[in-house]
Amino acid sequence: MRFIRGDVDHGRSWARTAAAGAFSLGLLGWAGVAFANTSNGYNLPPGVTDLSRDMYDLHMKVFWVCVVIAVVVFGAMIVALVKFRRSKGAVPDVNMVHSTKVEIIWTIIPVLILVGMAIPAADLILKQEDTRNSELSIRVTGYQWKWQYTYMDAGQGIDFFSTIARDSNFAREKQSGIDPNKVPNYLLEVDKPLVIPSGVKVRLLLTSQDVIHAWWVPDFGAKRAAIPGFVNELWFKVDPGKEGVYRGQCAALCGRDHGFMPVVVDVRTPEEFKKWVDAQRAAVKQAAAAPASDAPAAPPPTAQASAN
Amino acid sequence: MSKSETSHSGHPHDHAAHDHDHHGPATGIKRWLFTTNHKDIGTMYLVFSLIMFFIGGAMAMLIRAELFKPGLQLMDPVFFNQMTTNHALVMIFGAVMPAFVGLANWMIPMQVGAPDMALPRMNNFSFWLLPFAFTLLLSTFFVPGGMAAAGWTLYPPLSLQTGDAFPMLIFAIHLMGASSIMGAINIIVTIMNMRAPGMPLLKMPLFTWSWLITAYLLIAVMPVLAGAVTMLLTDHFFGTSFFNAAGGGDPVMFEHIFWFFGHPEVYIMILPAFGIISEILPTFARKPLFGATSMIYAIASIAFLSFIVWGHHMFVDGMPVAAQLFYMMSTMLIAVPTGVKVFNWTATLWRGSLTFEPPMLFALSFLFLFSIGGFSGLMLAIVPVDFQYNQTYFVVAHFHYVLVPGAIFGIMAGVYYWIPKWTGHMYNMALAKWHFWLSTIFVNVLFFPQHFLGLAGMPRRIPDYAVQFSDWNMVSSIGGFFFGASQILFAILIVQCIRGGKKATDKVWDGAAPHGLEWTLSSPPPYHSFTTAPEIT
Amino acid sequence: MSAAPVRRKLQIRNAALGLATVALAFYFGIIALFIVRSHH
Repeated sequence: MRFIRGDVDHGRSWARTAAAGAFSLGLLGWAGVAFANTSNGYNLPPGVTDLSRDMYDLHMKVFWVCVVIAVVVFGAMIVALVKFRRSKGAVPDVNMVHSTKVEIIWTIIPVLILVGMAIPAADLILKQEDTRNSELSIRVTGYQWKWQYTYMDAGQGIDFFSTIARDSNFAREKQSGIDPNKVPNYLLEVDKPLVIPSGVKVRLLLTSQDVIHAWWVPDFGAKRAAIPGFVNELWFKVDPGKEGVYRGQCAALCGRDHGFMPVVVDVRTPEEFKKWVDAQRAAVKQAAAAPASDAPAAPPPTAQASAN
Repeated sequence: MSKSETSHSGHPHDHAAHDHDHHGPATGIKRWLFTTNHKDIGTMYLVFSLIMFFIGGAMAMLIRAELFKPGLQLMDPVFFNQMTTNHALVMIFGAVMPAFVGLANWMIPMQVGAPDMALPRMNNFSFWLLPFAFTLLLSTFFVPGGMAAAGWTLYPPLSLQTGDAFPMLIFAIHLMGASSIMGAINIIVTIMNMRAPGMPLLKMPLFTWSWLITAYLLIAVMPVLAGAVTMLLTDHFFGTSFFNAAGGGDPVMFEHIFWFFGHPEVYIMILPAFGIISEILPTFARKPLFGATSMIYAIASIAFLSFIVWGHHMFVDGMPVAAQLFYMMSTMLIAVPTGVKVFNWTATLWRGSLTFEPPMLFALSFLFLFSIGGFSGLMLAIVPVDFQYNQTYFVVAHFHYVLVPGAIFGIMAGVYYWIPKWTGHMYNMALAKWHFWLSTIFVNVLFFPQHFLGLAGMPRRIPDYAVQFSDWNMVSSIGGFFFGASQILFAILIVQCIRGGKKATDKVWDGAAPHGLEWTLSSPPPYHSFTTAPEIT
Repeated sequence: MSAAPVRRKLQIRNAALGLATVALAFYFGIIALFIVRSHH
């Protein structure tokens, strides 16, 4: 195999550049199709909330704008690389050094494109930040390396920890000998998921007891940092009919087991949710009636340094 | 650390120096320890940077090996975090920044027509701080608690959980910062005071211009990083509560200070590459740079904007709506001067007469692949969607696209462009083209799939992942191994070129049109570049 | 030695000291800022 040798063989290097150009454009097109394809392997999930769909739509809009710009700019570069080769006898136009008109045009056009992107983005920011009129508030507290969910409003009194499921936790040990492909929802399963009702505006109040964590469920378009000493807010409203289990992970480096603190949310119909709340309340009462019978399952947090 | 490498490069300089100079370099190790010569110091910076590039690269290979398939096969999570943290620190402070300072040392006196840098003894000191800083940083591997594992961003409270490595890391950062500040002062003073008569600022070569602006960025932000880590140190050891919420402090404040440093820092790592590309494209297109003045204004506006966009690193940390809008728009604005640069480079190629020598190939690769990093950067600037991208592999893909085929290809292009001038020898062109094609192909295999991983929901900085991310991780790791292995060619080429090769002419690229004072000197140039100031016409 | 090189030497020294002062001002400035800020 030989490589481009500018001045030597004209025809072949032209053909190779053309092939490279076609290949690049093909790659771009393939990437575009892959992105547009909503399968989970390549792209953002459109998700199951209003916000996540808005985010997905804006993401795709910006992506296609970038693709169009890329086709124009890369196209011009490729044409230049094919057409203006010395091996093809191109003579440099040494007087082409400056053009105020052209430079103004290619300053103004990007500004207009950017304004066109910023307007819908600003609208969506306002929508995302509007946590008013929520019907269910839940405090989410990050720990190294688990989540605590403390219900307010309709769920008052429910309070539990959510830790990585035991089979994932065994399989993820170094050289555990367990095939992760055989573990259901490897690293994305917890002992006790967050349960929420569909069709209800849920507000999360995020904070942390130790280091900075971040709570994230891609299908809800919901990610926010949990910071000690701060309370961050975020909201989502899962579409009715989209009940099911949704998964995510901690999204801020939080020490040794950062990769092993999943977020799992079990979305139920409001009726099912009501039943779940009642059952939880009954369990809490029972535990209170029989003290010391059933200590909370969550182990105490361990320090990062101990791992070494 | 650099002894064995640098001794190779000693001989050609010695010969050159005896030919041209009344007082040449000292001999042996003393030459390198006590040198005040910009070329010797530039060589040491570049060799040091290459060693760090391979150390940081070895860490990256370990990371990609662990991520080759799901499950933990090779290392425990703490070691993984140590690798990601130190890979970043070594590559940023040890590889990319010293490489640009090395190029500046070599080229700025030659480009402005000066005999040497303005402050040669300080130049020696600012280099020799670095081996100590990195010995200290890398020696944390052997202390109780191991290396720092809180990410290169050092966010408290997590970074405060670091073991004995913590004070060593902070002292190492202080040394690196002092070295960078002194280097920057030297560069500014040289450019401002040592230009040949008849060279106004706007007539300076673009590489020198990009470094002038970069040096101001360094002076503005390296002290801020030093201040931030000093406050971390006092929080850890002296009971202050700058960033400790329980004591009334504010952990988010650290992020603000850090990114006030960190965002200009990313431009510190790319602006000199812009300068290099602006030197190479006109040479091999055989026509002047299109819109040279607007290129300078574009660099200056990027530098200014870099100070007011830091908040875009922290959208998920909670921020008032007004601040989100401000940081989004200021960040998007950076696309305008960056776009101007890319368009001007394209226009430089347009109606040129192109040939494809190794420096040109790397410059063209930069042009395409840096633009891809620019597009993902634009996407990341859109706040409402950034909530999905933030802290995922999409971000990893973005910044590796601007740093590897951006900054590092820029450095490699610069080395391939100027090394015949430095050594007096041409290098093995065929091997350099192999290096180029392997690097360009595998850098994409390595980083392009990471866009998919991030969008599909894989967080960054995790040692193990859910099984739906297996395929792209495997592809990325394979790309990584081949990319890493192809860099060995680069080291071979450099050693070969120092030892010998076809004699380079003074203009080196005779078939092309290199402009600038450096091409009026012999190859290799005399030990003191311009003992009498050249006439600029 | 003629006046011009001496003047240039002074210029170089002053420029270097000036830039070093700016750097130190940034360093102590940011710490002072946060000491003041953390006392409210």
